Amino acid sequence: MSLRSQKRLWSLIAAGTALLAASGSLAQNAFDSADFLGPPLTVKESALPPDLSAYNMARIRYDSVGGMGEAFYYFEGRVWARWETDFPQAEQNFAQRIGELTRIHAAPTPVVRRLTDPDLGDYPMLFMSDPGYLRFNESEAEALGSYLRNGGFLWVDDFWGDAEWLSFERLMNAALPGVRWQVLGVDHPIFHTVFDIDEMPQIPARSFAEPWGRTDEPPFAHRYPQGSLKQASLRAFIDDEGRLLAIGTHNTDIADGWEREAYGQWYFERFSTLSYRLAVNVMIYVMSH
Amino acid sequence: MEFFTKYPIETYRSGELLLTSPLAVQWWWLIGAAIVVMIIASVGYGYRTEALGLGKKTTLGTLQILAFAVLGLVLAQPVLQTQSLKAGANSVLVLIDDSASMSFPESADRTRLAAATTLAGDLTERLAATAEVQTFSFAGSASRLPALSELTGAGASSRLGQSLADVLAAGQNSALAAVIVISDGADTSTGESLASVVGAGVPVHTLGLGSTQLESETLIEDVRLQSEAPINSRVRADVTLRHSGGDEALVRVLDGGRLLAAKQITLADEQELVRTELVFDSGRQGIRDLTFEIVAQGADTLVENNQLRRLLSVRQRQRNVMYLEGEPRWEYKFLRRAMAGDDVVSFKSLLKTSDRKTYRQGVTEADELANGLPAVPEELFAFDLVILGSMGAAELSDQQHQLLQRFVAQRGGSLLVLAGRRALADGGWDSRPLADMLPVQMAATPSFGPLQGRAQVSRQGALNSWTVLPEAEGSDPWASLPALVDYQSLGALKPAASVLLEFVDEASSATLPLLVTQPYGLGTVALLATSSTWRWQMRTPEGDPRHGLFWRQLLRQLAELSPQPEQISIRAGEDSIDLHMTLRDRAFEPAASAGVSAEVTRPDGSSSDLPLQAGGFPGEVNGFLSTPDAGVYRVDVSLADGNSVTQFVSVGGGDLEYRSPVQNVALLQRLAEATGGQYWTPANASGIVDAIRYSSSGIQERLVLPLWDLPLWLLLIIGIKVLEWLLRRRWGRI
Repeated sequence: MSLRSQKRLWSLIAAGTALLAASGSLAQNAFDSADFLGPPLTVKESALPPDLSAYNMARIRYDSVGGMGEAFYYFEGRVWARWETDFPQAEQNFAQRIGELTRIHAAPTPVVRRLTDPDLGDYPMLFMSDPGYLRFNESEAEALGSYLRNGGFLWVDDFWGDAEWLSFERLMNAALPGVRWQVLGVDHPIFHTVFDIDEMPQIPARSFAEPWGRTDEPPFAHRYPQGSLKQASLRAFIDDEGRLLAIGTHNTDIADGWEREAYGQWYFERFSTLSYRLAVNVMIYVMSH
Repeated sequence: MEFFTKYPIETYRSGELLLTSPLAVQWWWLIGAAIVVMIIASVGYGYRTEALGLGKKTTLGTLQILAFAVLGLVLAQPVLQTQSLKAGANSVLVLIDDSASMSFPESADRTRLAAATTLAGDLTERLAATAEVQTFSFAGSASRLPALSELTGAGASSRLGQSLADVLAAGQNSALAAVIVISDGADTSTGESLASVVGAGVPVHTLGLGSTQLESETLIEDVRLQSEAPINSRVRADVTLRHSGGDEALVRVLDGGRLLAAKQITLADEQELVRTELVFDSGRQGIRDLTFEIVAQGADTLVENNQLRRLLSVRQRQRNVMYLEGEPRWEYKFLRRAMAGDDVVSFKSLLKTSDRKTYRQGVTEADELANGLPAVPEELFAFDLVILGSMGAAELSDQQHQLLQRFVAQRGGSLLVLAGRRALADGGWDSRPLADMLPVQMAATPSFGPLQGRAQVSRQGALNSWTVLPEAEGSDPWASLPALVDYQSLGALKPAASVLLEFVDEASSATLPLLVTQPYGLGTVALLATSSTWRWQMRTPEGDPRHGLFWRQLLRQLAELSPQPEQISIRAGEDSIDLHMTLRDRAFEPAASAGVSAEVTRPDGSSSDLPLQAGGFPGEVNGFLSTPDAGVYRVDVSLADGNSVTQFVSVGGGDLEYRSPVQNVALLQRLAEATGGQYWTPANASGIVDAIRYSSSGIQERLVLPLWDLPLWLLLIIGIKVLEWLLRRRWGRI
């Protein structure tokens, strides 16, 4: 759900309010911590231990740099941390749809983990969203590298422009020094495992979604320098044996297509179907390679 | 003793006791009547003379009765009717073991061979008056021995049965009274010829030499090792050791001078036979001339038996595996990853992504396996192993179900069934042919679900190389594996089922079968009751090899069990090569043997054809070649389709003699008893001459030997009366 312009507007209002209310001694860097505002209100994890015989969607919780409008944003009546963008509705909708479109037996409720959690290996595929202001430490990078080399897979979604990509690339370089990324063309098998996809779909935030016309988001909604936001791409980090370790769906917000599937018929047909098609292909590819 | 009995004890053993007096029967009546009178008189006497108690009176009466009985027996004129060899009309064969094991010590100052020479000379001399004695030596075969001094104790083998059969066949036209075998019984043959020895009807007397207990000795008795292995696979050798005393020993296997594996073991005093296993990597393609060796720290008399060589043919024969998976799941992904890049297994998989879509991986042609499980034998039977994942029974046609059954039963293929939401009863397989094939009585109700437990190797699994994993810092490699998180109840085990791995439920501590296997027809069926082995990859430290090893070993071994269309078995004896082939076509029906040939290359590099002939069954071909020279032989078999198969065999070897340093008493006793002879030791060997003199074999003469004048009778009567007199004196009743 990265509703960039809306987020930025609400963020500015919230930041101004916060500055007025805060005492002069309140340091700016206090806003850098995701813990400052406490845990997000809408995160609902299953109280029961996950059924590991099923596919469990695992959302990575991370920290972000900056204050309101950067590490946090205000939207739909509450403050969101970057890591929880689209969570958990996107995962819940996706678990439902993937059970209908494929034979994957998916648990209905997603789990939330940090990269340093000891049971990270129980989730061979991780999902991260909106990592444009991502901040990580050495132990997180180390844990991610070990996880990926052991056979795990990471899908990062919803980041636009050069600056936001760079934050993720830095994490990957710290986790797997020397690893390089490349854009996967539509001739790659990942675009053909179930559905034949001939174009990388670009899904904008709901605020910018139109029944017709352009699909990219405006530059002002994203971190500077943005570069070009026109072209969505699937960028992959690949090991020496040709295995995909991680992918980034760049300049697109695939999970928003899941989360907002009920936004309207035109939205579902124009965006949700594309996002589900790509997600199904990715899932089958990851579960078979 | 013979002074009192007048004749040797052997005479009584072979003879029949008779009473020759014309009044013998009546005398017996009279003796009986006299005994009755004596008893009555004694009783009457007892009433009148009550000074003696009843016990004393009974003793005295019994002694008197015994004296009368002996006297009566003598008066009945007993004789011994027996048979004896007719002097000068018979021959006796003496076979002396001349193999290398006879050079082992018999006592502190002489070898077994020296003892045999002395005993043979003595027997020959004493038997000369009774029969013609012919002396032979034997090792690999028997040969006439002109003089005992020509014994060398250098024979490379001991083929006792064959040697006996040969000399008996050569002497069948003469009157053979008996055969004497002087040996330690260390027979290195398969013992097949012993049956013909028993059938000859000639008593064989065995004279055993050598210690009957292992003393100051440690040796490798046997090594069981598969003859072939895929490249870069884990190979397990079962090593059997024999030792005389407790100590530490190092067991190792070397390929040339390169150490492949070693293990330090303790030789416990109370356990003479020790079995251990060595696990090593087969390495690259080629022939491994492996040396298994034990280095003992204690006393060891013979060092020649501390090594044993075995050949291992390591080859790169591709095995074809097909994996049918009915749902995308992590087990599928990580199983595929474990097999990725395997240089032995060609891995093709069909993944049902949705009800109408299948994702094929590993196929090389656009339409390969496009219709799922092949429905014709020629296509399905090209695979060695089929893996059935979480796939419903309804997804196969009746024809496919039946062909899958034929794949295992008739073709000899292997089938691995994995647990899952659509597997076993959950997938409706309980009413399909698979239910017959599985090693369990499939439960009729769905049973797959979350359950946390750990895998452990069962007793049977400990004997199986499928479950060998590298030790993790000296601890059980299975104990430290991450827990499994799902399980599918299997039902009761069938009688032929073998449980190789067990699932220990962490909540209840119950032990459940996890990996079960059983033969079915010509093939093998295995069942894994979990779908969460992927945690062994994802929840172990980076670089842990156990998940990959487990799957590669399991799939390779299962695929290796599957026979090729051409089955070639080559057995090497001490001096021959036996070849047996079964030829089949792509549908595994018997194939014609025309166009098949075999060539043997000897250790010296020369080669010749190995003559082949059709066997008794369609597709069966046999061949035999005599190979007098020991060494490694290469056998190249050219098949009708242009392919060829190469195998290597080791003929002879010469060190078998050192494997049995103790006397094989059981063999010598069995041989003697089966032929009507006796087993003897050097201590009582002098009795052999008398035993042979009254032998039932050969040309006999009948003898009637009078027994009435045995000094034994007089001695008995005097003894009884003296005893009676002494008792009466003691009791004051003379």
